[in-house]
Amino acid sequence: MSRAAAIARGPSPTQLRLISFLSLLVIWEVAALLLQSRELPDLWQVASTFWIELTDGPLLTDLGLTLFRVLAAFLLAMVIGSAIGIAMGFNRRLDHLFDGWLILFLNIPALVTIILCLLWFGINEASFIVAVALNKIPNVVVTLREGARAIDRDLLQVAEIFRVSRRRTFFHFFLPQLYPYLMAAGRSGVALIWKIVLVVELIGGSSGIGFRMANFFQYFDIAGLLAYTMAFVVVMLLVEIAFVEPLERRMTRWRK
Amino acid sequence: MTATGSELSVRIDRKAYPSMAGEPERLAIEGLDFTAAAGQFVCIVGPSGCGKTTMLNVVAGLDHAAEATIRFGGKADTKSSRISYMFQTPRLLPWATVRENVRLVLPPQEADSGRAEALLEEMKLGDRLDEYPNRLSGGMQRRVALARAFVTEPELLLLDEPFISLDGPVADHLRGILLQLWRARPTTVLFVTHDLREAIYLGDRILFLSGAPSSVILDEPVPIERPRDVEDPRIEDYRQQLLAGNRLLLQGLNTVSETPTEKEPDDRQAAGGSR
Repeated sequence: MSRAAAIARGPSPTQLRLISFLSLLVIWEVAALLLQSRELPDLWQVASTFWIELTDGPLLTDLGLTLFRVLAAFLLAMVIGSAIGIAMGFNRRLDHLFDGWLILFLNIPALVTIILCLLWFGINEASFIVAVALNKIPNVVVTLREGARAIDRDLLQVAEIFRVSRRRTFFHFFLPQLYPYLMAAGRSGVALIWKIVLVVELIGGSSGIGFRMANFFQYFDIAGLLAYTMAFVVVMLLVEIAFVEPLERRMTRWRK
Repeated sequence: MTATGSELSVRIDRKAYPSMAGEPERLAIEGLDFTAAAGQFVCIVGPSGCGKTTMLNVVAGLDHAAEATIRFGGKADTKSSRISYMFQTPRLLPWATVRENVRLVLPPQEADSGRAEALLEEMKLGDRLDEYPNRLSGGMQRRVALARAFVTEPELLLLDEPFISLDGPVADHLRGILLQLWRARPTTVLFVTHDLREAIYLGDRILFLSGAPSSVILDEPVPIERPRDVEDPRIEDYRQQLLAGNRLLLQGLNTVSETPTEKEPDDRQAAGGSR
């Protein structure tokens, strides 16, 4: 009975996701078999390269290093960007003063920031992380400024009337209003940051996934390139499923 | 233990909204002056837009740009006193449960005292403690707001047309609850409304405000003993008597609009969805 009902309803969202992912793999495999070319290795080649790199090669170290840089740059960009964004959203004078800077920074190509950072601060871990964060901060500022402008002051008045402490006002009356904006900035942030981290590693690194990519490029090793990409994408997918989605559900459960 | 409130004296010499976007300065209040005795339930009636909300905000200390002298319980403002304010809309935190909404206004050391839960139980919300406000009907949201207003045992309670935009029977029910709470926890009350019937049913005394710039134009006691019944014909009689006796003064009251001035989610839908 319940089985029949399940069939009548069709596949669940999770099943749909799985089907769509699997069909992508099938398309890849079929295309690789048809082309029989070095430029498009098939799944098994990539998988075996992945396995060799994982067990015998530097994949785990590189993946770890890159993830560390992503996380550090992400946190730095979110904290600094949110602080500036909230301040600008609340203070009109500050907004006018720095709006021009913001537009300027939004439009500097990532490559320029990266090269300048590496030239100015040298080739070191801190310089990598700053270079990446600088590329993300302006986006966070814009999103959080919008959030701060949309703050419902009526609710803050409630806190004022009932003499709620500053700390509590911030965490219970103010911050929850910004959750959607923090979530939006965070999501687009992770997607953008890991791409930029790879570029930084490609240009200035001696380790990390981006550095490996440069090697694979030189040796025309497409299987290696795809193996590293897959490793990273899988990790990010796990982060999304294990961390981002539960967090988002928690923050929006009151809407239902 | 019983807080009975304190004497409140209000003198607002002048409150104006500065000119904006080419519009001239707007004078909201001028020479508004009255004193409420400790524990007195004072209703303030006036036409829409006459500055009633502005006056409450000045008393509450939310408005810092008024030329005013507020004395409460021997102190020069209400800043260090326990005050509660019930707004036109419930103003509950949508991301906090019913219980959290009430507990959040208590000092941390009193949050676990069980007072919030007991009060919500008294408001017949005992089985909705862990629900979010947008699952409740408009009337229930008002009950949560009432519980929040009384949970701190305020010395001064300010209410700004809290039952506006509710259906008649729901509003009457809530007025009854308000009186019940006030009798059990006496406190000085300022209740702003443009509904004269409501003022007579609730108040010990009614102050009538003029249109802007507003000031007190009439100050009448309510000569009906408590407890009162909403259906008591003396309420309507007294209303007619007041209107007849002060026809010119109270002109504005007959033409007030019934539209709420604060935006509000659709209550009826919420009510339908929760049943």
